[in-house]
Amino acid sequence: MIESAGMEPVLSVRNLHTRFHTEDGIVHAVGGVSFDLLPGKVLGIVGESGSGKSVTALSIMKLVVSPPGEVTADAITLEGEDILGIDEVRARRIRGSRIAMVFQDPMKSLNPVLTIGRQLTEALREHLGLSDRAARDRAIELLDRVGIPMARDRLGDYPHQFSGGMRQRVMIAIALSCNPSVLIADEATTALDVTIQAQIIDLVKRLTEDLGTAVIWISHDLGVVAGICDSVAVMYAGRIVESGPVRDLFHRPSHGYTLGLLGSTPRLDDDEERRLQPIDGLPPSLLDPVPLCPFLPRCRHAVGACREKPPAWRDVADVHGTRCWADLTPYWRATNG
Amino acid sequence: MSTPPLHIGAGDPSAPPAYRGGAFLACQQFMRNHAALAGFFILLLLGFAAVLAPWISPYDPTALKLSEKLLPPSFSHWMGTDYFGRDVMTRIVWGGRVSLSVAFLVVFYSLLVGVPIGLVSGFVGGRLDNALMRMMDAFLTFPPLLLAVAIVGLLGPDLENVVIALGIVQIPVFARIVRGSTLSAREEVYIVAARALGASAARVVFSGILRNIVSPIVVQITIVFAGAIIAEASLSFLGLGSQPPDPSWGRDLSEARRYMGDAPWLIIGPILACMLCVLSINFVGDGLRDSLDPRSWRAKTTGGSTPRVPEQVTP
Amino acid sequence: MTSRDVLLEVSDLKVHFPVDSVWARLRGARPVRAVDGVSFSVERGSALGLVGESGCGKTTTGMAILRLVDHSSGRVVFDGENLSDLDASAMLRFRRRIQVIFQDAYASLNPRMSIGDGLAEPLVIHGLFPGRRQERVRALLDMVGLPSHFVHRYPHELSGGQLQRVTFARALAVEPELIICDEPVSALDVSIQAQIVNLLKDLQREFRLTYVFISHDLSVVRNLCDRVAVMYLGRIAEVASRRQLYEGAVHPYTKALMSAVPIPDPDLEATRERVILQGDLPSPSNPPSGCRFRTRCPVAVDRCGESIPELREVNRGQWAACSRISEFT
Repeated sequence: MIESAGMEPVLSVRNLHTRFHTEDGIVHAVGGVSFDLLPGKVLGIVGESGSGKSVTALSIMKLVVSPPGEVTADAITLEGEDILGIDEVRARRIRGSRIAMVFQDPMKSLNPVLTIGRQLTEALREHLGLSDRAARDRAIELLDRVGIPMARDRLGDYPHQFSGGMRQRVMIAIALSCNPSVLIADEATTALDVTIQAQIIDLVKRLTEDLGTAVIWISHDLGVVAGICDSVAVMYAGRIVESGPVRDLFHRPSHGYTLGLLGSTPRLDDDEERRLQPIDGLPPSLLDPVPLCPFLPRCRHAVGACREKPPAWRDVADVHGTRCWADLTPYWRATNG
Repeated sequence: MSTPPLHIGAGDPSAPPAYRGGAFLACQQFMRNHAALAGFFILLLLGFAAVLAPWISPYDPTALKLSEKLLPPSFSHWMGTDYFGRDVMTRIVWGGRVSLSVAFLVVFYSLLVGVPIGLVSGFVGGRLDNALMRMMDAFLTFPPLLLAVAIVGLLGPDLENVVIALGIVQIPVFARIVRGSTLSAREEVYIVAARALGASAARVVFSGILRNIVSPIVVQITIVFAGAIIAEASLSFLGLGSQPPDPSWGRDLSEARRYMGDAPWLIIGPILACMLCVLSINFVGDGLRDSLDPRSWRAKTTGGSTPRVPEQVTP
Repeated sequence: MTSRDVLLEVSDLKVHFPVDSVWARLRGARPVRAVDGVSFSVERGSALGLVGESGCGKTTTGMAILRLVDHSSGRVVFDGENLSDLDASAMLRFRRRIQVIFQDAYASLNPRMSIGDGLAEPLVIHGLFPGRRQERVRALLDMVGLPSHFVHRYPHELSGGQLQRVTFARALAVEPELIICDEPVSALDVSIQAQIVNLLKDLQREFRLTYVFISHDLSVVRNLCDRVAVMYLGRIAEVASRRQLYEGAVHPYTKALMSAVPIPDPDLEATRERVILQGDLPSPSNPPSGCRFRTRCPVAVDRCGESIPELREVNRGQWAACSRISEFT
């Protein structure tokens, strides 16, 4: 839905569907997601738990376990190459070398019984075919680059000997070790304290700018997304409901859900007596997707059309689109203070 | 109150669901488990047969009738007769009285002593915990069957002594399991929350901890019950349990062994009885463990919530 | 707030967790000084925010007020009475007046108890509303915006926001005066978080509750609290009224912390100045000498390592613990 303005996208996803077959029925975790990621840009995917943002990433990475998972799409292309139908062997070759991922919990993504050095050099040897010596030197260089002091001495340390922030730095070092063209960060700073989060965001920004890596930044935190992303896609109930350039989207939110999210987020620079405007109710079940807008039962701005037909994608500005019938122009002022 | 009314998910049934009590839901869940249900009925059948043995068995379990010895299975003797002409079926029904009651009493006594020891040990902790657990460890170092043989040897071969011997061995097993579960349950946030509410130690232990460690206890009960049936059979097999001519599954098995060549059918009855019983107990135990946990009650009231998507494993 | 009606006063509270094993002590392990001299007071009907990063001792402070962990020294005075010397049975009287809400609502409810039984439990413990408990439970559910048929539900059937409402109902059951909220909205999605924050505000107004609101989220605290205490490594760095803190923080740590909080506004994010602190939090078992923040402080000088700075009043009602404070104000 985010159109490439002349540039060739490095990653392009069309009509991605991910379903899980469970005892209670089919869970439609992702229901038709399309986007383009431009080289060197940061695309933010925002949404609450269950919105399908993580599953989208895992589907692209071919990490959805099947069964019970089932991934279908019209196309997923990485640098012009189709990666939708590839087998596990080729997928493994792509993962880590051309698309890398950083997860929320670095303690779970690192193997607790292997040293950091071993885990770093493994990817280097496997994907780049480096010798032991060269891999080691490169590992030290990488650790140094992500800001781990005394990198040479720390190669022999185990994950538990690092603090949470340092572990996430190691994860970033591993992810960027093979110079991937796409980095997916899935809630990469959610588990960290704010001061550490600021360090990590700063680091990712700096490194990806240097290396020209395109980034998909998945987060529930609108503040983080506002600070790091070039464009944003808002997900709700497995669908992208609005997407656009970050400034445009935050200043002219054009979907009831985006507006609701902004209204319910407390801000550090709030008026003291501002009352938060929560979104009433709960997200819908993903078991039986409704043909209408999934946000309708919770929407404060619903218009007649919302109850009659499913919302069509429409542009509100240049490369800024929404899946919402309501005209939310009057509310922009309100959210902009 | 200016709190906006809450929608309970998208599939919100406007009418509240019909109320079902916890016991009803637990039963409902148990019935869904067919293996457990089958096991339950088999146990019920064995139990009834044992209780009603004097009235339902067509023959006398001990009376000798040498003219009918070692008859193969027939309509009048479904499982044949043994060397003394006694009906095997009758003896199995009567033998159940011994085996089942020994197993029941072993579980009862070891539970009665072991669970409180474990609870106190885990909840109080410190020196008392250390002392109690070292004592239990000492008990555990004896090979169980050997200890039973020693006790029965000392006190004489009598069913009461068999119960004592087998029960003592199981006390530390219950104590250890309950202590371990108590230790982890004690750290749960809801226990801290109960203490913050001002709950007494007794309330914390019974309503907070005991309710939540039922699962491991139930599992252990089934293991001990099954083990006791086998152990009683083994002791009787060795001649230390029930004495001739009283029927018992283990003793009958040991006698049947002698006539394996002439009357192989003799062995089937006792073995089948033991096996059916132990299997059924295991199934019932599994079923109980699941059905006692509210999280398994799949009430159709959950409205908008989405079933949990299996957790993804990171590469 | 002209008349000072102090409900809770904590002075020089210290919680040190001793090293248990003899071997560890021989190897030179030191006690963890989770809370090391914390003082503050909370006025009746107000909300005090206790903020800081993980390991700063904010949760331990809350648990020490509740006497759920033992404190090593200091005083906790609640409504004129010193809770520190009370024995367990005397403490029971105060359990009714001080309640607690935890971050993980699901974990704080007994999974084998229906919501109704869980809500009735505090009433049973304190012998309240005899004969009218069922009505009371339904009234409680109503107070927190849940339908009354929830009494038959079990915790695992509820969503995170609903569970947090239940734990509030349980706290309210005994009509407390003070509620210690330990990160009650941190685990919730923003849209649900806003529902709960508003609920907290409404309940506070309706029942004149006093909150100690423990959180790492400065934005939520701004929305909810009248006064804020910023903690770092077991000590208070700065304590001030909301306006003073958010518009004129003086302590270098508070400033850095605030600048690290992301704001959902791309223009602001692009232009605002950010102090990125270097390094990690030091270990609370071996804190730096003198000012604990000096190892990461952007303006630290040699003299900061000499003595532990005490809280000093910089403006009326605004206190900060920094030996260079006079140079910044």
